[in-house]
Amino acid sequence: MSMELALQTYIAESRGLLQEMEDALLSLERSPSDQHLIDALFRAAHTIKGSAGLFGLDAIVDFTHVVENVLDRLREGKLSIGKPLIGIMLTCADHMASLIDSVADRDGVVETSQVEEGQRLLEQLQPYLDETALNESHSTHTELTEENRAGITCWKVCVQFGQDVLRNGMDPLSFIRYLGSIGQIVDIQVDAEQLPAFEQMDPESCYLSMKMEIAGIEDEKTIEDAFEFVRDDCKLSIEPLHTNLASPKELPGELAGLDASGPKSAPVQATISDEPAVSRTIDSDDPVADESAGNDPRRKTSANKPTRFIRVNAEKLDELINLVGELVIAGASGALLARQFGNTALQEASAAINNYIEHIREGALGLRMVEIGETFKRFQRVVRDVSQELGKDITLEIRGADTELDKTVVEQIGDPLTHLVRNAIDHGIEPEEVRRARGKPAQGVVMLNAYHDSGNIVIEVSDDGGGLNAEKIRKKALERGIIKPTDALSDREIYNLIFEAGFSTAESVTNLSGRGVGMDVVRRNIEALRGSVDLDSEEGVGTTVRVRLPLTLAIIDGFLVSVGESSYVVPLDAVLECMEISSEIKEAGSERSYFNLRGEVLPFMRLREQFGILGKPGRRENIVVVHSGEHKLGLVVDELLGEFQTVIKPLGKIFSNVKGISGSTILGSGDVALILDVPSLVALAIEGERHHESLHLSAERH
Amino acid sequence: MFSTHIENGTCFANAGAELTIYSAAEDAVQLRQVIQAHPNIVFNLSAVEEIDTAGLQLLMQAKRTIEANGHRPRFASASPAIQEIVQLLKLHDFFIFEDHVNVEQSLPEATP
Repeated sequence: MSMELALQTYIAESRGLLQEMEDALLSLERSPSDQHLIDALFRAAHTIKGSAGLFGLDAIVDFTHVVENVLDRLREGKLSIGKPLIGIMLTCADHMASLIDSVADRDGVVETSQVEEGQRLLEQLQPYLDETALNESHSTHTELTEENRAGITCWKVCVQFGQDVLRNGMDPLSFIRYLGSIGQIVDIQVDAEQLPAFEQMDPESCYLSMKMEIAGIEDEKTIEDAFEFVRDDCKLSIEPLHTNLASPKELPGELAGLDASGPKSAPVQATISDEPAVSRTIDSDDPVADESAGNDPRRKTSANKPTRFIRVNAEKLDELINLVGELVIAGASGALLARQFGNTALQEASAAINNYIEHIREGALGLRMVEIGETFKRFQRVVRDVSQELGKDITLEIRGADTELDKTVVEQIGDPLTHLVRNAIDHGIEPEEVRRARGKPAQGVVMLNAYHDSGNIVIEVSDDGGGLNAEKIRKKALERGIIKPTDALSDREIYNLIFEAGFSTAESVTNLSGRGVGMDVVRRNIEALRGSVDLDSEEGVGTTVRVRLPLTLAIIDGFLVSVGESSYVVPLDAVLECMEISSEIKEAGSERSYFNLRGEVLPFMRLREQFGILGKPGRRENIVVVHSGEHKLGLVVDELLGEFQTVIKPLGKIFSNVKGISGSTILGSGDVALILDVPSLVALAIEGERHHESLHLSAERH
Repeated sequence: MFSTHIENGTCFANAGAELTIYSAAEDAVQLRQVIQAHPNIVFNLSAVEEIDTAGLQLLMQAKRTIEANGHRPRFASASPAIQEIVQLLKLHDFFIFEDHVNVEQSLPEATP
C-alpha cells in the first residue's frame, strides 16, 4: 500500500471515528454516566491521534492529545461530563474534522483561522486538565492500575517485518509506538538474529523482528490493524497470553464456530482460524452485549466490535451491478428459450441457474444498499444545535433506522432532509410556554421514520408541534396568487401549497429558515430524485412530511403485462391483484373510469389510451389492481405475462416529461419494455377524476 | 553520517542528526570501515535527532560485529531521540550508555 493510499484510508477512517465521537457525545447528553460511551470516545480520539502520528500530522496529534487527556480523565472518573463539556467536545470534534479536511484538501496546510480556533478550544479545555496532564509528553500513556489490569487481555505479538518494509517508506518503530499509545507494551524484545554478517547486509533492508507482550488492548483486531500498512509485508502472529474471565468464553466460541461450520465448509474454517476475530463477532452478539447496549441498540456495531469492512471503489460496484443486471437479462432469455424448446433437462438446468442468479442479484444489490440509520443519526447533532439556538427543548426519535436504500439516494437525500428537520424544529415545534398552555409535554419530539412501501422508500419527518393552519396558508396563497379564490381545495391540498415556490408560513423570519430557500427547493430536490413529497398536518397536534423515493438503480421484481405489441413492467410490490375485465366495464366504453371491486369503487385507466397505442383492444382484457400508498387504481391491459425480474435502465432526458414511466428494461427476447411509475399513474388518475368531477359539477350548475 | 576522531587510541564515532534509512547505505560503509580500523570505539549519539529502524539496525549490527571481533563497543550520550527508542523497545540492556566517557581514562576490555 503506498503512503498516499494509506493516508486516504486514514482520512476516511478518521472521519468515521469522528462521527462515532459525535454520536457518543450526543448519547452522553442523555446518559452521562455511561462508561461505554466514554470509553468509545476515548478510543476514537486515541486512534485518530495515534494514526496521525504515523503520518506525522503534528497539528492533529497536538490538538487531539489534549482532547484525549481530558477524555482520559473522564474515563478514570476524575471528571464528570456535563452539558458544557459535551458542547466543547463537540466543537473539538468539529475542529479535528476541519484539520482532517485540511489534510485531505490542502495537503495538511493549516490556516490561521484554524490555528486560532484550536487555541481557543484548548483554552476552553484547560479547566478540565490537571497540571500533571499538561506536563505529560505525547508518548506517556496511562499506567495500568490494578483494577484495570484485571479486565484486560494480554497479547503475545510476534512480528517479522519483510525486508522491503523500510524501502517502502514504512518504519516498523512507528507501529510499535502506535501500539504503545493504544495499549501498554509490557515487554518487548528486538530480535536481530536474522541480521547477516555486516558485509552481506543491505542497510536498507529490514532484518529485525519483534516479540512483545501487549496489555490494555481489548481485541486482536486492533493490534492487527496497527500493522495494516505492512500487512502484506510482514509475518504477524497474535495470541492471547494472559486472559481474564472473559476469555474462556472466547475459546469455546471459537470452537463452536468451527463445529458449526462442519467438515463441508473447509474454506470457511480456514478463514475463521486465520482470523479468530470473526468468531468473536458471533460471540459478541450475545445477550450481555445487547444488555449493555441499553437504549441505543445501534451502538453495538459502532463500538469496538470487530465488524469487518472492505473499502471498494464505487465504480467497481456499479460495474458489478451492471453486469449482474445483464446476467439477469441473459438468464431470463435462456429460461425463455429453454421453455420454448421444451427440453426438461434444459429447463431444470436453466431454473437452477436462474435461482443462483437471483441470489447473486440480491447479494450484489445488497452491496449498494446502506441502512438509512447512519444518515438519520447525523440529525441528532442538527436537532441538538438548532434547538439550542432557538432555546427549545427537542429530542429526535428515530425509527426504521435499518431500512435500506441505495447509496446514491442516501447521499442526495441529506440536504432536503436537513431542511425538513430544521423546518420541523423552527416552525413545527411551538415555544415551551405555548406547549404547556396546550397541555403538551415541554419537550418537543421530532421523529424520523423510514420504511419500504410498494418498491419505494418512504421517509417521514414528523413533529408533535402546532401543525399547520389551513386558513393562514390559504390566505397567504391567495395573497401570493398561488391559488384563485374560486379554487375549492381540501385541507390537505392547502397544506401541500407550502411546497409551492415562494412560501413561508412563519410570522417572524428567523435566521434558520425563511431565507427564501423554502420547501419548494426541498420538493424540487426530491423530484430530481424522481421522488415525491407530501404533507399531513393536524392543527395543534403536529405535522408529518412524507418523502417517497424510488429505489432506483435497483433490479426490481416486476410484473410483465402487454398492451398490443408493447410490453410494460409493473413493480410487483405495487400489484395487489389481477383479474379478467368484466363485460360490464367493457361495454361501458371509455366513458366510465371507475369500476366495482367487491363493493369498492376504484378508478381505472386504460394503458392503451394513456400511452396512445394504436389498434383494437384484445378480445380478452385484464385489469391489474395497483396501489400507491392508500390509493388504488386498476390498469387495463391486454395480456398478463407473469412475474419478471427487471433491471431498471434509466430513461434518457427526452423522456423526462413522460408521465407514468420510470424507466425501461430489456426483455429476454431483446425487446424493450417500459417500467410503469405507479405513484404517478395513480396521481394522474386522481387528477383526471377530479377534473371529471368538476366538469360534472359545473355542468350541473348550468 | 558519522564523523570520527581518535583520541588515545579510542575512536569516537559521532553520529550526525539523522540515523535513518536515507543515510543508511553511507552510514553502513562508514561504520564498516571504522570497525575494521579500530578495536576501541565509542559511539557518541548525543546529536541524533531522528532514528528509525534502519538506523537502529545499523547500531545493532555494529555492536554485534564489534563484539564478534572480541571487543566491546561503548555508547555515550544518548540524545532524547535515542532515549525514546531505548525506552520504547526496552533496549536498556542492549545499549548501556556511559554519559561521561572520560577520554583520559584508559579503555580496558572492561568488565561487563
